[in-house]
Amino acid sequence: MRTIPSLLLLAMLIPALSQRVGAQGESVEPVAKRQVSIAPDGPWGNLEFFEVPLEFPTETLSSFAIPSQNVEWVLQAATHEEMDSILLVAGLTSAEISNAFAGCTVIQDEDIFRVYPTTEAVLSMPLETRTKLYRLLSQYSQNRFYRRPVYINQQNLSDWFRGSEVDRDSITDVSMLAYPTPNGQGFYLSDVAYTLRGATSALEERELLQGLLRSSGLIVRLRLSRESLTPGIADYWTAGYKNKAVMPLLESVVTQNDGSSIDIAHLIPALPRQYLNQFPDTQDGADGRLPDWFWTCYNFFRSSPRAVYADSPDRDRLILKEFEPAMPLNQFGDLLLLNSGGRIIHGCIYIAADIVYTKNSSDIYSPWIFMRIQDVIGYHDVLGDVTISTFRKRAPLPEAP
Amino acid sequence: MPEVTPSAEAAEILQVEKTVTTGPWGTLEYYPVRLEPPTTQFLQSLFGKTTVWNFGVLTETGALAELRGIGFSEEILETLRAEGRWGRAKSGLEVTVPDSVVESITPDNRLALAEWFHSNNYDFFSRITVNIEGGDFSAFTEDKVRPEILELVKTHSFVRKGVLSFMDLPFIVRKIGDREEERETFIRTIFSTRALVVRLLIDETTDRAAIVDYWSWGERASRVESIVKGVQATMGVDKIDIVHLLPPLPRRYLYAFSRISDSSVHNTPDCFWASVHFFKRSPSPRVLDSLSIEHYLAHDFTEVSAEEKLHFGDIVCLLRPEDESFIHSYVHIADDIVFTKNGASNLHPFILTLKSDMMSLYPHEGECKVRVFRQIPGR
Repeated sequence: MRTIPSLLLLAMLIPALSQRVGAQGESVEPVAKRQVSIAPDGPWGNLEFFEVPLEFPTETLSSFAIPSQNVEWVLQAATHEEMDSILLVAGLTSAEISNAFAGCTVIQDEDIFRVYPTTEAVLSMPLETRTKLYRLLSQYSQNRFYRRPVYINQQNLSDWFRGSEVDRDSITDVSMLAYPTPNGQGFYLSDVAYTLRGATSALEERELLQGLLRSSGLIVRLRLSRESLTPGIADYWTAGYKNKAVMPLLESVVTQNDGSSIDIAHLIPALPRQYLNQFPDTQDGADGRLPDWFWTCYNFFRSSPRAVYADSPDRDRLILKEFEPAMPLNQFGDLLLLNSGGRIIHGCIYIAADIVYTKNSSDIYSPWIFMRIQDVIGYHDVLGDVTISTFRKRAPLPEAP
Repeated sequence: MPEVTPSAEAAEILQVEKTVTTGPWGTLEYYPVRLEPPTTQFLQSLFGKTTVWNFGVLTETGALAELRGIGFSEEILETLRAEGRWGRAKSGLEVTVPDSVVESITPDNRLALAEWFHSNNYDFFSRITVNIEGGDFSAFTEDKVRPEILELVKTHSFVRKGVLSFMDLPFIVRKIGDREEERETFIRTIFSTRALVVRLLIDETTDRAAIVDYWSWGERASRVESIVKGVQATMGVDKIDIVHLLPPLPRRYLYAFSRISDSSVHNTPDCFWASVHFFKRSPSPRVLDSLSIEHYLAHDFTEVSAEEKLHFGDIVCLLRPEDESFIHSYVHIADDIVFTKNGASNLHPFILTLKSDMMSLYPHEGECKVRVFRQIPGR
């Protein structure tokens, strides 16, 4: 695990704020824009991409159970002694436990302890303590935002919140409460409850949650020229599945005369294109449940989705029946499985370079997006032990769109 | 309205300018692309090598009399009588046509024959006639079609009411011979479709609220707003492909072809299927049932005056004026840009195209009655 000292973290997070907002809150310089990134060259051609933060649909947010502003930690233990023992096993020292739990209120409820720490304890907790404690809390389903923290994929918080209605004070709160992911890729924020304290109205509360719970998807474009367009590029995007006659489309694009590009939404199969940058809708759950990562991956090349889920009894059989283990280099359409703690915790579809197609959670707050694989790992790697295995779709070939 | 109206006159002209149009939809730029059906869409019948004409309920004598009536020479008729193989199939009287006849009939004969089939045996006409999109042979580049084959296509094609058409596919397949790859390439080329890639231009001065209002009709505004905001917040990005602004189902099918799984026992997705599903999340098998369009439109849509300014997502139905029977429908996107699937064939993709290009495939219907239907939000 790589940890970053708290002062360094603050230094990384806050300068962007001071550039944007003056001491008295006045704007002192124009807000910088995000940059377009260039992916490494490869058989996929020349890709460029940029982030688009996707906000919850308003009607979805209204169904969201807004947490109390009181920070709550739930631990499964029958006695105080057992709770202390669990904390020690998780790596916290006696001194860290004392500081974190100093002045807290505890409610014992059958076999769980509900702990309400003081504001001071939450704010002043050293990063290392926070990392260890919150990793422990992530193991209990009652700790919603510890189990699935808000994932911040960059150091510049101003940049991350750009376009949202989140105010400066809340962003400062986030800068104090965010902590590095176990593998050092990005930051987690679990104390969403605390940040709600600054909200003075229900509207501000919703705007804050909108800002915090956004998901950043990538818009990816393939840049083409007559010189760079080769049959190999078409072969790459066709992936042997002949799911679309890609080459004529690419040839048409290069007839443009301005350094042509095509959105790769046009190069992926029909079903993932339908869901790209979409949040689930109630219609998606008409059969009783919402799509999850396995539904997303299994149906990537299918013209009609099949109702299979990550907890389906035949999940592993289906994986082995329709996919085969593969070695790098990854190919378009490969299934990447994230393993942690001896089990599969997530899967996504490899697109190109370090970009994947993913649905990170089975709930209605998680859209289907293009994301960088390192961010997918950062998002899911709560324990810091994620490894990836690659599977490739077997013949016979699936139906084309 | 468009500022530039360029076109690619021939395959060797590679510089195609983009067209720009501004209105309540914002500023759009678009350019043509050509889509070829993947080989997975091909039915074996496309590769048939036997030229067959079908005369329905007529007898051999009656068929020859009809051909004489539309201008076929006695010499051709004699060859057809002597060398053609006549027989009655389930679908009617058929004659296998020898190459000597295919090669000797004049362009006028061919056009007259097409008109006769259109009037007297429309199903057969639909099966054998290919409308060459774009009205020229620019898709038939040398790397796809040998010059001598292209020459045969040119000499055997005809213009019917403004549409460049062809109905001698088996003849060309015979000429290509056993070269499987060349045959496939030819089929893909002749069935290729012209479509548009359309992008919304966005900069810091773009009126985001107006754009979002226009493009989010009938569904959630937040998704469209997120995309537009994302573009505005990114340096070096000033446009977004409108695939990201379309509702889920047209996004799924755009530039794609319908599949067996989309079909029912009697029908496959067609223009109306594409239109009525525009704002839907998933397709309904019910839309493949043969019911009146009112059945599908009465509850979820309101009819608006055809004179009214069209909204994004409006369904435009074209009907025969004499009996209001259905001809075609499409979805209005912006300006002259429409979303359509031209016909029920699996070889015709779902596309964005110019209304004027789309209408060039429906010339024989003359003046149409137009009815416009607008989705009721939330339905």
